[in-house]
Amino acid sequence: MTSAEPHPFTVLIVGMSGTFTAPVAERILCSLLRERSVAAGVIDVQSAGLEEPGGREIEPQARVALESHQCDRGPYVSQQVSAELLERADMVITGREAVRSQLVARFPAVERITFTMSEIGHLYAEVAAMAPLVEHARMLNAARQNASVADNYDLSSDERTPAAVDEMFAKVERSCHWLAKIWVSMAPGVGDESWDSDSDQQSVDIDAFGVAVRVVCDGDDPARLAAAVRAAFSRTLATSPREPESIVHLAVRHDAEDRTWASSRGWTTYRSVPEALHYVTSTVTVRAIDARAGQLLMVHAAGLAGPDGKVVGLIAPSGTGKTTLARTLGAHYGYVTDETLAVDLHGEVFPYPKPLSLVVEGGTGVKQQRSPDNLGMLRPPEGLRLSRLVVLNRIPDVAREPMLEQIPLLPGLADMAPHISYLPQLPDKLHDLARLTESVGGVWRLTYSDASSVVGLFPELEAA
Amino acid sequence: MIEIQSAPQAVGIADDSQLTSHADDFLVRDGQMLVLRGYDLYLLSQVAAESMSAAWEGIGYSALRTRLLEIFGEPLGVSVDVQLQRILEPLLLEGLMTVDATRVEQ
Repeated sequence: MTSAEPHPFTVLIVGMSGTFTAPVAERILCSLLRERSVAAGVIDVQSAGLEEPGGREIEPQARVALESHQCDRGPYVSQQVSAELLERADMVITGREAVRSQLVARFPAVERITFTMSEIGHLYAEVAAMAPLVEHARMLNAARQNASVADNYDLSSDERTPAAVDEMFAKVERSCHWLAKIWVSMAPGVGDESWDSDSDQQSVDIDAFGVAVRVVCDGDDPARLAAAVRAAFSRTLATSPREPESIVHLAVRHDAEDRTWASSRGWTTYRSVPEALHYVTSTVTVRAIDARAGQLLMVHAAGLAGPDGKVVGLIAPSGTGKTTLARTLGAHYGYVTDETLAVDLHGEVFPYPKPLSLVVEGGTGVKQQRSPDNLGMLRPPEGLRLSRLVVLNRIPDVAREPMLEQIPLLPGLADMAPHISYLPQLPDKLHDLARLTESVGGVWRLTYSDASSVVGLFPELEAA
Repeated sequence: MIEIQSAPQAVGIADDSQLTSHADDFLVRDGQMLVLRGYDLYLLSQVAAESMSAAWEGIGYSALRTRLLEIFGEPLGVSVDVQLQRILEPLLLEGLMTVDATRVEQ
């Protein structure tokens, strides 16, 4: 679905028959989301079969799997994939590549929003999709061409031995847990209601490009959690008291039953402080983006400022070296943001020097959140204005001098588009984007291999 | 918002079919067109852009063929209809253009 009107994030899980893996994945995902207080009006998950007609019951082996996963075992009637179902979907997930291929052959327009379960897990691990959920498929698709997905969930359709089926459903469950955790962290409204608690809550007020976001910390040790949030967000702490525009209730609870209880009461709950920091960075970012939809141009870009406050926006898909470049340049120029460059339609830049998300070697997908203060990054001056928009084209492992070139306006805007949030909500949509872009000299492309080689080029970027 | 059609529906447009363009916003530069529909952006070639422009208020297939021939001339190495349907098919699949369904050749 591509309507710009507010609607639930709608996910369609497609299997060949629609009575085996697809309904199991649907029920597990729904169960995990509802346990975490995410209503169907926020994230809607459905399943369908590609080949078989609808109206059939779930297969016995799938029913057993639902029982073992303590999911809803109520009546299930399958439905067949249709243009209408696909039209409503923001993201389509298949268990097997063969299903994805057949679906795309039949409905080519859904190719860019259709992923195998293995593929989407891999892409989410690589891409920090800090964007509204309805934009995730486009962001993941933009990253897909550079990703190599080694293994998938293919299971021979005639391999229905109990061991093979158990193994497959275990994989499905792991994927569903991973997806639910990511989606919950960025779902609108989740964790923003106030619930009773048995501990002393502590609040941290954050200013995310002018949006006041309050993080209410709870759980086993609220003081420790709040201290960690304050340390990571040290550059974005609110300097004066303001009524928050968005509230995030965050808890760390080591005990699994405690986590389930807290999640059911509306808290975004994690098992450790590093995990909570990883996800709350996305939560705060997306809440701020949601709050400024239609008011600011919000580009998923790094921003660095020269001493006169001229900001260069460096646009690239997540996972392609943007944070590394921001960190490298930030030792020499003012760090504005590494992820969300927020600009009003007159070119004023609203800084968001959020913690940098750094990959932990041999990690579990949880990235370390480091304050720019701890990484020796410079502060930008006051009065920031957009000076240049640059699309990054990093070619790793090939030693070369960085090359800067201008791109014609329309192809340049098309390159930028997957990295812009809520473009359809801008008052004059493409015309606002074009006016702002042309006012800073159009779109430029920087081809480079190594971040350090760009440092000397920065004055040229500012004045390109 | 995108009207997702299956591939077979997108080919075989009859002469008397009515084509209509759909977009939330668009920009034109140097003959190319950038179209916003929902959350998706499409960069269109000059011929596709001219087709979209011609069909904002609706246009018959044969009238569109005549108009494109006048502007761009005969395509090289392929018939006008084959070339035109190659151009229209992605527009139809992405919902940027719709064809009066009652007149689609089966």
